Amino acid sequence: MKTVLMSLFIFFLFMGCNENTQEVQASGKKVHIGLIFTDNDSLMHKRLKVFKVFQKQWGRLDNGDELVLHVVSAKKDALSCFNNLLKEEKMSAVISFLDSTLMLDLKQSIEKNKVPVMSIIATHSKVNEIKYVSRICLNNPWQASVAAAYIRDELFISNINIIRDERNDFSLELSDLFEERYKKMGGRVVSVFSVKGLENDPQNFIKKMNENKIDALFLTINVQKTKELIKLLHKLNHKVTILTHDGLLSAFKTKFPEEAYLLDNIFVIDNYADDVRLSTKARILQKYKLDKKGFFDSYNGLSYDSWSLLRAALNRCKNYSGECVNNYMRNASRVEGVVEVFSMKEGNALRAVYVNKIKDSKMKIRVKVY
Amino acid sequence: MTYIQKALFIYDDEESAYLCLIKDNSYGCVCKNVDINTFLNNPTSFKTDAQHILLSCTNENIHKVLQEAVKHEYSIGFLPLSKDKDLIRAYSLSSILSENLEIALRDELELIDLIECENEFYHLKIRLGDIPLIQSMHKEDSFFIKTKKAFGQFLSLKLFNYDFETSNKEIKTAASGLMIANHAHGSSIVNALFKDTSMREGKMSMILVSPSSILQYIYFLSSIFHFSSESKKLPESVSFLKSEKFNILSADIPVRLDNLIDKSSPICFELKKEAVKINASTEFWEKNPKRSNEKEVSKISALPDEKERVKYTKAHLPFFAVASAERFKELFLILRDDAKINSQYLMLMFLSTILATIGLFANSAAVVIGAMVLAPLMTPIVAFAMGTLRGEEEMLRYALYKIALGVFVALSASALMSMLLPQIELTSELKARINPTLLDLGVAIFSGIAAAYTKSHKSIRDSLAGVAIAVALVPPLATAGIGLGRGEFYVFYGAFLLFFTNLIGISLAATITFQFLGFSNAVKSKKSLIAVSLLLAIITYPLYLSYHDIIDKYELNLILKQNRYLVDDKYIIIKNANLVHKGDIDVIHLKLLLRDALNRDELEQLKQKIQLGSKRKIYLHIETEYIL
Repeated sequence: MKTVLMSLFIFFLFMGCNENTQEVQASGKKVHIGLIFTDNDSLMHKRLKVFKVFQKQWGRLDNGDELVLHVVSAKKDALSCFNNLLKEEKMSAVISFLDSTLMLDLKQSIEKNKVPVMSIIATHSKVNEIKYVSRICLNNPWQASVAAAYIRDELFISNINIIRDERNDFSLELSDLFEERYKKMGGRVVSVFSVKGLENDPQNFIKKMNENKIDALFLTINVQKTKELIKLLHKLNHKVTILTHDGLLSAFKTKFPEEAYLLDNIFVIDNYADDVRLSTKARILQKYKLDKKGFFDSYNGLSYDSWSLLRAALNRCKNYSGECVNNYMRNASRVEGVVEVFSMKEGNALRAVYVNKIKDSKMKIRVKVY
Repeated sequence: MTYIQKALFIYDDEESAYLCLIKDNSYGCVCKNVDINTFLNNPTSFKTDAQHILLSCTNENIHKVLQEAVKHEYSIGFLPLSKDKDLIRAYSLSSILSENLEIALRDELELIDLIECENEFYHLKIRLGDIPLIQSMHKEDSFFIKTKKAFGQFLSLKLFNYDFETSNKEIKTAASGLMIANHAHGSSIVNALFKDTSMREGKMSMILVSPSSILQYIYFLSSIFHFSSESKKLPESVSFLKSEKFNILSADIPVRLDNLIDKSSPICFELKKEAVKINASTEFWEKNPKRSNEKEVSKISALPDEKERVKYTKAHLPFFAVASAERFKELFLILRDDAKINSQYLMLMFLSTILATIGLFANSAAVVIGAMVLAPLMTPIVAFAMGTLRGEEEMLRYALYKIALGVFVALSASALMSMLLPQIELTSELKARINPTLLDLGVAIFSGIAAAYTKSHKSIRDSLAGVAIAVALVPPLATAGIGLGRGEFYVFYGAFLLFFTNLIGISLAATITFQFLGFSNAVKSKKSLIAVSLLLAIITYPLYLSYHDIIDKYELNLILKQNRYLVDDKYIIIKNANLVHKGDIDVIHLKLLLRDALNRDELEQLKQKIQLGSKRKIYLHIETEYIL
C-alpha cells in the first residue's frame, strides 16, 4: 500500500514537468530564420541574447528540425541589409526590430521575395499594408483609440494639449489619430504643439502651453524630449496629467537609468505591465535573469510572443513555404504568449493593450483593453 | 594574590604541547611534568614533589586522576583544552590556557563534594533511562544521526519503574529518565533544572522526568526553554529531590556516568563530602556557595504513585495525555444522559425551528440568532462524538436516534410553516444557506472543537458553544424544510448538504478533540470513525465544486474589473459581472458602461473577445448604461 501511494505521489509530482523537460530528437535538418536590427539600437545585444535563450530552450520544431538564426544589423540602408540577409540562405521567416519608417522601406523587397516578416516594434498602420508582414505589437490606431478613451471616460478629462514631433512618422500618425478619436468622444484638443518649440525656446513653450487651461498632455515624442519636457515642468512646479506612448519607459530606463524617477505618476500605453503574471511556459525564462530582476520587459515579452507564433506557424507548414508560414502567422488563433493567449487577424495581434501608471520606475496596470 | 609554589603537571599525549608554557609560567610555581601513565602507576611517589596537580587530560584520564587525588589528598587545578567544553562549563573556566593556568595556580583551594558510586568518584552528572533532547548525544555522531536518534527516542518514549531509596525515604514510581548531579553545569536547560544545587552543601540532587504523554513531554521541553533561574515552580512532569544518598533498586536501567562510563542498575550513589580540594573560577564559587545543614528536599507531586504507574509502564507513552478516571467518568455520565431522547428536547427543537423559519422568511438575522439560542442540538452530537471515540454502542445508538428525530421534527416543522406562509421570493438569509462551500466545513470543524472543549471542562460547560453548533445546524435545517414545503428541490438539496456537512464536520472535530484532551488514548471504535471520515470525504467533493465556483466568480469579477474592451472604436467598461455555470456553458451577466450603443455585429465582437479568455463556451446577458 505504502509503495503504491509513494509511486502515485512521484507520478503526480513529475506529471507537470513534461513540457519543460521534453526533449525532441534532432532530425538534422535546419530551418533558417533572419533577425534584423538597426545598428543604432543600443539594446541589440540584450535582445539578441533573449533570442539565443529561446533558441536554446525551444530551438527545435516538433519534427526535430532545428531553428538557425542569421543576425544582421542595418546601418544606413536597411533595404540592402535585408536583401543581403535573404542571399545568405533561404530564410523561412525574418524577425524584424526595425521601426516603422525602415519597415516601410522594405515593402517592395518583402513582397517580391515573399518572405514572411514578423515586425516587433513598428506600430505605423501602413506597415500592415505589406502583405507578408505580421505585427506582434500594438498598432497606432489601436493605441490612439485606447489613449483617447481612457483619458475621456476613465480620467474624465475634457481639455488636452498634444505634443508631437513632426519629423517622426510614428509621432505624427499617433497624434493625428488620437486627436481624431478624442474629438469624436467629445473631448477638446486645445493645441497641438511641435517639439521644435521646446528645443528653441523652452520657457516660451511652457508659457504658450499654459495660455489655455488644460487638464492633460498627450505626448508622442521621443525619450530625450520627454525628459527635457518633464524636467521643465518639474522646475516650474507645473502639475498636469500626462499620457504617453508605448516603449517609452523601457527606452528611458536604458538611456537615462538614473533619471527614470522623472516618469513617476505618468500614464503610459504599453504591450505589457510590470505586474503581469507570466504564463507557465514563459516562467522558465526567469531563470535566465536576462534582466536585473528576471526575464521581463516589454521587448522581451514581444520577442517571446513572436518566437511562439513563428514556431506555431513553422510546425504547421510542410517545407516551410513562405506562403504557408505567412498565412498562418497573419491569421493564427490561440497562440500561447508570454502573459496570455493571443490571436492574429490579418497580420495584427489581437491582444490586450495595457494602460499603466508608472510608479517607482515600474508600470502598474490601471486597465487592460481588449 | 598568592600562588602555589610547587605543582605536578599531569598530561597525556594531546596536551604535551603546553609543557613549555607551564614550565615558564610567570607565577613563580615550580612545575614538574609527569606523564599520565607514570603518575597512575605510582601516584604516591610524587607526594614529596608537590601536593597540587595541574591536570590537562582527556575526560577519561581526568576521571582516573580524580580517583587518585581523592585517595591520596592531592588538590587539583584544571587546564582544559579549548575543545573540552564540558569541563570548561563545569568549572566556569575559560577557553584560553593562560587564564586557566592563573586560576589553577591560585593559592585559594576549596573542598568540594563528589558523587561516589561503586568506590569511584564522579564530578559531572549521572543519567538513568531516557530524557530525549536533553541528555548528551555521542559527540562523534553527525547532526543527522543525532536528530534521527533523538527522534527515535522521542517516539519510543516510555516510562519505567523506578524504585529507589534516599537517605530517609523509599519511593516507588515511574519515569522516563532521571539525572543526578551536585552542581548546575552544562547546557542552559540542565543549569535551569539544577539551579539550587551546590558542590559544597553536602547533598546531591536528582531530577526525574515523568510525562504522561508525548504531548506533555513536548510541553515540558518548551517550558524549560523559558524556565528562568528565578522560577520557583518546576516545569510540569518534573520532580526534584535532594539527598545524601540515592539507591536505585530497579534492575536493568541503563546508567551513564560523567558522559563516560556505562553501567546498569541496581546501583547506589552516595555523596562523598569534601572529597577533594580544587581551584576554580570566582564565578564557580559564587554558583556553588558553601552551605551547612542543608535539608533533604522532596518535590515529587508530579510523580505517579505505585498504583498509577502501572498504566504508564505498560506501553510507549500515548501522544495525547489520558484524562483522569474521575474526570472521564463524570463527563461520560453527562453525555450518556444527553444522548437520551426527552420531550423537552423535541419541544425546543420544534420551537427553535419555527423561530428560525420565521427569521429566514423575514430576512431577519436577529430572529434567526434568537432561534439558535433555543436550539438543543449540541448535546446529542457531542454524545455521538464520544460514542464514536470510545466505541460505546449504546451511546452511539441513542445519540443517532436523537439527532435523526431532531432533524425530522425540524424538517417537518419548517416545511409545514413554509406551506402556511405566502410564497415570497427567496430572501438573502435563505440564499446564503443553499450554496455550501468548504468555508462552511471550516465553521463546522471549529464549532465541533469548541463543543467538545467546553463540554469537557466543568467551569465552562454552560458557555454559549451550543449556539455555535446551532448556528451551523438549525438555519440550514429550516431552509431545507422550506425547500421541501415549497417543492423547490435545489433549495432542499443545497441546505441539506450544508446541514449534513456541518453535522459530519462537528462530529469528527469533536471526536478528535476528545482524543486530544485525553478521553481515550486510542480510537476504540474504528468502524464508526472510518464511516464518519468517509462521509466527510464524500461531501467534500460537492463542497469543493461549490467553493471552486465562488473562486471562479471572484476571479471573473477581478479580471473584468480591470478589463476594458474596444469594439469599432467604442470603449466598453464593465461595471458588474456575474457568472453562472450551467453544465459546460458559462452564462455571464454583464452590466456595461459605454458612450454609444452597440449593434449586433459589435456585440458579437465583444463576445469573441471575452470568449478568448475562456476555454468554456460562454453566453452573455447584457445590460447597458451610457456615459454622457
